[in-house]
Amino acid sequence: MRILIARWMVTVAAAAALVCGSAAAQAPRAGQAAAGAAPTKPIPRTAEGKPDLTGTWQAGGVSITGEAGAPPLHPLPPTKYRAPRREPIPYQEWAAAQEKTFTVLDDPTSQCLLPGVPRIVGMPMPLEIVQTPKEVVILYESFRAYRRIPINDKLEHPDDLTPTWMGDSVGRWEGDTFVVDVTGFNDKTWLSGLGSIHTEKLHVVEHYQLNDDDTLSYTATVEDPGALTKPWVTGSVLRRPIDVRVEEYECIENNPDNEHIRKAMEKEKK
Amino acid sequence: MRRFLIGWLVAAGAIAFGQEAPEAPTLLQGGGVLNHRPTPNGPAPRARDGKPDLSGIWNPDRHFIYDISTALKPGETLPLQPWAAEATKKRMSKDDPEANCLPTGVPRLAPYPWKIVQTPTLVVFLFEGNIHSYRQIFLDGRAHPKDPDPTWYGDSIGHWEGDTLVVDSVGFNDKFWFDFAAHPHTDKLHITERYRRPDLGHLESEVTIDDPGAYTKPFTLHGQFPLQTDTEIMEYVCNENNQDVTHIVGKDNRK
Repeated sequence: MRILIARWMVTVAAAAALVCGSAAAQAPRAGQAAAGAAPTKPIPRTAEGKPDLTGTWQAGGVSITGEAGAPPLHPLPPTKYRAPRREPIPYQEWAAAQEKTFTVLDDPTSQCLLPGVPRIVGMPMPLEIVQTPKEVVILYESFRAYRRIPINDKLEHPDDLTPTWMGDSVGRWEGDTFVVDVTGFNDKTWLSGLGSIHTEKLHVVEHYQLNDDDTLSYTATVEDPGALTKPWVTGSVLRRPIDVRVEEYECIENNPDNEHIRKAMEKEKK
Repeated sequence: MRRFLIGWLVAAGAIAFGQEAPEAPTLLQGGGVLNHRPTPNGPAPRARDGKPDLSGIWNPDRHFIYDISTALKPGETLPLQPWAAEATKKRMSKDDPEANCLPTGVPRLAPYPWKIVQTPTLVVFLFEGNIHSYRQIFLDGRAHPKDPDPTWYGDSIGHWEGDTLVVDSVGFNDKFWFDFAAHPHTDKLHITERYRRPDLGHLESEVTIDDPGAYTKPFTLHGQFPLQTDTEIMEYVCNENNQDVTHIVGKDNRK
């Protein structure tokens, strides 16, 4: 049942994107607290002294491009921190033109293919960070995906990467911020909303910062000289859902959504 | 498929240049199906909490890929109930959920490396194959949910008994097949896995399968997984361009 609800929500989110377009939220940058903040507490640390990002997290409230309609799957505690200000994706002309030609059925995720980075972070399902000294593993309920992020102080990627859906990630600590560099993408995912294509030149730099109210600020700087005119910044404030663990999600099992969407679209045309 | 192709190409290239061809991928007897460097020697590493560290990239044991009856002790047979024996014979490989990019469940493996990431409260199995999914084994003392949703991988909780990690799993659906040979199970399935790392290069398992809906008594499978040191797990998106399933006829009867 829960899996059906989740898929329905993703469909609603995509449909809302069709109708509403992307809204730019007016908000302070990540890390700024609103006035009248709650008392702070020290952030948990590992034995190596690094902030401990381990646990189950959920992005929520608004989707990663400020679209309404991607509510989180579970209730979340409030936070004083805000996601970075969201701007429309700064597309080159050819990409902006192509973006308009897609429907929800072209979304790779409606074929149960992977959402890529940073889109997977903003999905309305929880993720779990498993932190070890040598690598950080992130388990996503969304599409049962996982990412391995080996820790490498030079942020070196292997030579000659095979283009992949989730890219090749490598991370390091910069002070108390975990910085992840992701390259080696194929060109098949969407960055966020409808038709948000990119090329294989995509390069994403993520920042994970544990806040003093036990939330996790996430920022992704997205560069693609093949499709964008300048870097694009997006992000969210991840919070710990209560009594929740990442659960199973088998997208291709009993997936009737595409048929329903096709029929709804045909009805709309009439 | 890709690894075998690469192995063939490398072998062909080596022969062309007059060098000794590297070892082609072989289906090894005692576990491990993949071409890899010699298994390293040395004592098993320990985690910070003193437990054996099972972390590493492991070869899949062929007995958990093709036919689990080959993972029994010699002379033993699978105690199948009559309906289960019939189902095993009748099922065709094109209907194998794994061929249709659904999960393999437990303890089945796909012929690709898999990785263990171990922390004191959580052990994660990351699979390169097996639709590139993961299992979570909770070591934080929690009990199974009272009424678990039936899932492909079940609900797994673990604890240490000396140097052995004991994993207890319930809450399975009845949809996955235990192997290419199509051995079935029901949602009464209850699996106990025991993992040991006797030395640096080896992981061993004993998997007791208790399913009163399909088998007349519990049985135990034995697995061996040599360490793989020369690679990292790669991405694998089964449902992207899946040509195989429309070409599969008959039944895969390899052992």
